[in-house]
Amino acid sequence: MNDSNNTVGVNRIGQGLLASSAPVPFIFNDRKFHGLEGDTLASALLANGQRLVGRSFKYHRPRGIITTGSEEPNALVELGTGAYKEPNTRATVIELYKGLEARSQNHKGPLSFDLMAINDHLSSFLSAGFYYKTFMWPKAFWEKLYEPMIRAAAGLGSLSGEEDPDVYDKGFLHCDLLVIGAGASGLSAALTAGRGGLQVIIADEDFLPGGRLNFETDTVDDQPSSLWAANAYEELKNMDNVRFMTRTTVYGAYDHGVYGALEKCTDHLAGVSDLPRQILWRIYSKRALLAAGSTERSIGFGNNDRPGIMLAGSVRGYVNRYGVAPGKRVAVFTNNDSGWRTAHDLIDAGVNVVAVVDSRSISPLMAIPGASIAMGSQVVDTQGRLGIKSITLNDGRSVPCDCLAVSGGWNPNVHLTCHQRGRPTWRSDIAAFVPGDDLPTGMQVIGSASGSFGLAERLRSGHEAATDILVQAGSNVVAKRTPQAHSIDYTITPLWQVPDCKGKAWVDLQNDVTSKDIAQSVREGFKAVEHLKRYTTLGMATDQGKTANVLGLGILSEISGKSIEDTGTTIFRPPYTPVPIGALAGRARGKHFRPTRLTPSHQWADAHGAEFVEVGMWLRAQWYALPGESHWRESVDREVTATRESVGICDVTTLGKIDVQGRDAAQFLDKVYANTFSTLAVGKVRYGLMLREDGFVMDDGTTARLDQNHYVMTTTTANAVSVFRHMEFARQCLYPSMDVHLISATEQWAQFAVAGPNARNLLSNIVDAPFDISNEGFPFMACSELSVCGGTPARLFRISFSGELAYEIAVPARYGNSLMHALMQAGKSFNAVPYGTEALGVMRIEKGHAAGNELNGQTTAANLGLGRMVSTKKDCMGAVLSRRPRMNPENPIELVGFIPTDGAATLRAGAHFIATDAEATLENDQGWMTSVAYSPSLQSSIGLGFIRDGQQRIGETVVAADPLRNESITVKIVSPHFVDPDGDRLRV
Amino acid sequence: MSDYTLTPASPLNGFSKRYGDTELSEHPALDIVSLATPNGGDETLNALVLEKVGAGLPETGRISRADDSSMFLGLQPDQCFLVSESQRLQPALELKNLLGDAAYVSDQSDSWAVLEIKGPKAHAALERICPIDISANVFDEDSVARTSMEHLSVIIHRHGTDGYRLYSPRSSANSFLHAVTESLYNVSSTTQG
Repeated sequence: MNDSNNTVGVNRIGQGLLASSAPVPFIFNDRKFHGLEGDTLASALLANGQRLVGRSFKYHRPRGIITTGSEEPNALVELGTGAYKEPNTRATVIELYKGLEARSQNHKGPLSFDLMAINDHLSSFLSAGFYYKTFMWPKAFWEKLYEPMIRAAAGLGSLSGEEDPDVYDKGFLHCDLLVIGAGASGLSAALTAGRGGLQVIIADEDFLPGGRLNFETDTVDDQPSSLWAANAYEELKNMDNVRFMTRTTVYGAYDHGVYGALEKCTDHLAGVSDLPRQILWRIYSKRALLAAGSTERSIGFGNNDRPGIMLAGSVRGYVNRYGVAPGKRVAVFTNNDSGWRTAHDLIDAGVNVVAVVDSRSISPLMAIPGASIAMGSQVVDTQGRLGIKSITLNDGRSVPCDCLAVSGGWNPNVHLTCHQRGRPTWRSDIAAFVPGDDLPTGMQVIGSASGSFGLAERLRSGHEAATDILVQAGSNVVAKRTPQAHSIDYTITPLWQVPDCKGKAWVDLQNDVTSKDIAQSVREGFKAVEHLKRYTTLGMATDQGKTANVLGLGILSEISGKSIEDTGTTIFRPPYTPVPIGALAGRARGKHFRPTRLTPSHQWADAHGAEFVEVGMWLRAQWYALPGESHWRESVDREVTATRESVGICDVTTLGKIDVQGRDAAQFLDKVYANTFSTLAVGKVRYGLMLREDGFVMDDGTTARLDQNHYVMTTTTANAVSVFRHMEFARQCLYPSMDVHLISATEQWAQFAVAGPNARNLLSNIVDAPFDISNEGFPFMACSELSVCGGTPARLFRISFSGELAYEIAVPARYGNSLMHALMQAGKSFNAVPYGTEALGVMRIEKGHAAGNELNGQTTAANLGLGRMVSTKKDCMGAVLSRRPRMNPENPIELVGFIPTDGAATLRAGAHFIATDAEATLENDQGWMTSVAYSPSLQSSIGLGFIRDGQQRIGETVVAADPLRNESITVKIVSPHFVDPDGDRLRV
Repeated sequence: MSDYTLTPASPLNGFSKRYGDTELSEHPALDIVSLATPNGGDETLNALVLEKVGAGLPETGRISRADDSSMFLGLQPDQCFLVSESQRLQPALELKNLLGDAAYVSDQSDSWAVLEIKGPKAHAALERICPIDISANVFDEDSVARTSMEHLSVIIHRHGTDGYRLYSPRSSANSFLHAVTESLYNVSSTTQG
């Protein structure tokens, strides 16, 4: 590893605003450097004379640092190592920390000798749209050869390929006023609003608040502007009603005053942290002031991309804030007054200014002894392979320099004003787009973002906007006075590109788009700004054209001979600056992607060998493997057989439970169910079928009448929420005059099915005397509230999903795990088994009960063989539309059972039924298999399914064709009730 | 009489942990009963609960307190929860016996896992998961809200000056606890602003 021995940096000319002179070691391309605390990676590299920092996207041109901020198009580096590596990070916004490791990107071989630089020599073949035209033949080569080749060559940095090990978080903030940007106008506004008592959030992407106040040598209230900013920051930080968020980029403006913001928490700290690296905030604001400032742009001239060519405001910014001179002999090329400020500040700092080239034919704004002053002139070319060595003027003069500061004017940062389709408007006096009138709700734009470039105006606009908001909010205006500053004139005569320049004039440095590409785009018919963007890639990628867009539009307007107003502009969408996918994901990773719901007996099940299955968000026991059982079927067959022969217990808490009460509860249930519930006696349960408004079956379940005005409905597990929502809609919107009230009781009760011939014997050890659970005392479809296990309140329902003598017993959920213990203990003498969802499924298929596979939202009551349940004596939701002719064809599909004619065959759900002599085509499709299981009771594979006229075709043979698995099995149509078709077992 | 006795288990097994000066703990034993007002029965029920419970019915989003040990949470039009610092076997039945047909009651005590978060980092921790504004200036001690945190339904109200009580469904209590503990961990560092 080579070390830079100079701990200060060859270009460090002072301390700027840096607080400490303690050196901070860091590594760039395996070479050790030192910067100072408060440096960015960019300022530290420049301090060390490192002008070359990367290679360009397409032509692999040597590139350096252009800017001081988030608009940086060139200086993209890979930060960190291993899984922590992050590509395409902007050196201009990376806070330096001890041990920082960065690498340049997009080159093969050393940065100074990139083998891919050959692309620069092939540039005439690689112009805009080249791959749309070049890789068209032969067609088959595109997918296999061309696209992989282009993809391998394209892109900038590389990903680690490993999972992001960093931690991210999200959060929600609320405020009366959100101030976006802590520059002159933002600070001024926040001070006024904060002093007036509003709840204020002020956010800035920089770690040092102040915006341009820290990069300029202005004066505010008789203080250096940076000191005024620091004092404002201190005051605001100490206000209880103000939240000052540094390192926070407000990246998007969304509906109703909601803003997205990304806060960087640990990026500036050395070492690995298990705390959130970044937080994605959702900020709910009543009002917002956009004080996002403005961004400088360049001018198109020959070879204007060499390392050392920078934006003029950034050159003086590095001098003023970081004490770094980007060059020792600096030339300035400008079309506005801002370039002269750079010359002024550099001379003040003792930097040698060798030339000022102003494209305007005006008098020089200042005298600079020893410098070439060229008014009405232009730079037409530059020289220097890995860094600028000289410039060539239009009169042929050559001026040696190691830095060229360019200013083509300033663009207000209007991005967030466009996030809801707002369209900026052109202001010719400043040659820039400013926010249009159609701003996001609650937003107002202040400062240079609104096109007010003078410091006094910026300070005033913030103060006045905040004052207006205070007045509207009825608050006191404590701060009556605007911070004072002198205004410095800003005049500009636009120059987009230099005529007759030598070499390529770069417009978009990040995407290697030149003025020639724009001309070609226009020639080939892509004249509209949106087409230009897509055809040339102008304004794409990480910087989204912050420095390039307006320059490109200016050149387009010149080439097409239209004004910029008529040329128009593309608009911006979120995010303002890149947001890592990890931050968007936040904590929603791995098992925390969504919540997990556990049944009351989960602990017992886990301790007794349960294999769990995800059912929606629930984890349910799928089966309970005993020692020696090596295949799930062994466990499931045993559970089914043991239940049918003696008794089994299953946690059915996941079924939805809805408590329905009210004087009109019975009439309400008559409306939401297809069948009648007002006739149900107290103490009884009835199976109910629910239709959607369109007449299809929505859900089914049992509902118990506990009292005259009190029912408890059960729903399927999957539809627990949607049925509740459906019923609330009916209650509030369709039948608001009914006295009926709903509340979910799913979580309240732990509920267990106890099924099998010994179910009653088992439960007789559980229920408290004198409750009579004999067949006479508590017959099939009875329900009651009672107590169990010595006084615990409970509910008992004599219902059966398995087809056996069965009960469902419910206790308050806190007792659920304990009840499971007790049931198993009480069942010991009957060899009671716990059973899971697989055995539950086998038994319901054996019994012919419909479940989710059959209630798929496309089946009618008639399809399910339940057509007669849709009462014609009353109205109900879905009744009218269920009578549509198309819902009631002459030969409907009907639910029936299927068994293979070859007893050893295994049926598959999803197979389609066709006649035995027909081809497996869509035209011959007669229906499909919905559910299959191996039935231990029948010792055969069995299935349920829908087939045309099924009920009339019992005994027929068809083929269950499964082309996806290349299987065809001959099956016999049978009754769906494979076990106990007459229901004798239920009623004993 | 059955030979078995059932033992209750709280949703989070009595979880309690300190994060610096901020404490997160499960409240394992509250009686929570929902009351729905029969149509047209507002005045009758209000008068009855004033007499029998000691507080009137709250407006939606507000709390009315009977004493230190019980309060009504106004959760939606015509529905509130009566929350009491006790754990009885049949609180809904007892309330039904008090109020008769003037209210429809339903026991909710076992439906919710209840967490209390208290201390200087409580608000900052909840900012990470709670979408509504729970600052003291807009969400006072008599405010209550239904919201969602990390996809889970949550009822929230203040509990003391620097604390909150959070009710979230019992079955997903562990996921909810994880959401809150992670928030507390994330804000309990000196590196956080």
